[in-house]
Amino acid sequence: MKKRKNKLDEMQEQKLLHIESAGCWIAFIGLMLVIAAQLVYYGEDCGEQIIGETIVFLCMGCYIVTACVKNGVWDRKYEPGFKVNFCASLIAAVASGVLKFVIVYRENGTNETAANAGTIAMISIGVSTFILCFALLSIMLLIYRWRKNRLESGLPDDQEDE
Amino acid sequence: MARNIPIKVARAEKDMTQKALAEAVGVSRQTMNAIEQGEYNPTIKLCRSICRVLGKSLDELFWEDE
Repeated sequence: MKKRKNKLDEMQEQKLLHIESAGCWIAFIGLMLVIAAQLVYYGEDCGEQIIGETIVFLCMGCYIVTACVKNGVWDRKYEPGFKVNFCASLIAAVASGVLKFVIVYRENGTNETAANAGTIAMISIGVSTFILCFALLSIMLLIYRWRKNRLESGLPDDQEDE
Repeated sequence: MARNIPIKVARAEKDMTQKALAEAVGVSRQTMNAIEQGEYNPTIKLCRSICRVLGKSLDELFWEDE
């Protein structure tokens, strides 16, 4: 198939990339909110209803992480390291903990027993999310550093110097 | 970013409109206007095309005195 010629100039191309990037993040955050809202509204038995959103959400996440690591990119503002991983894991833990609390609290009749059950669920989910996120981020950080070193050591100037 | 006056002057010397220059270097008028207004930083490839069309050097059109 004949490849169509790009009709945009460099500035328009950059603008389009910005627009697509914003669209991607709107979709990412929107999907996250939709999944959370459905979990709160329908409870934890809505697995079949949110399967589509979850697959798209996971695919987007996997693609962004893989592409960033492959290209030796971590983040615009934050330096990769223990502190950032710790904070990001803590945010994820608090968010998932609060979400779990709301789900359990609603499912168990919004009384004191429900609040206690919700608190236990919140702590267990929060701790497990923290451990999982921190472990995953640490692994990604190791892969990122390995990849970045490899990309930087393979530059032509270095080869000429040798 | 400061406005790019040298391009405007060089364009006037050649009696070219913004549209004509944009067409000659293969970009939209919107992009050429953004370069002249200092709103867009062109790539070196585009800078060289503009220099070639206007018959100026990179220094003459894109060097900013501190």
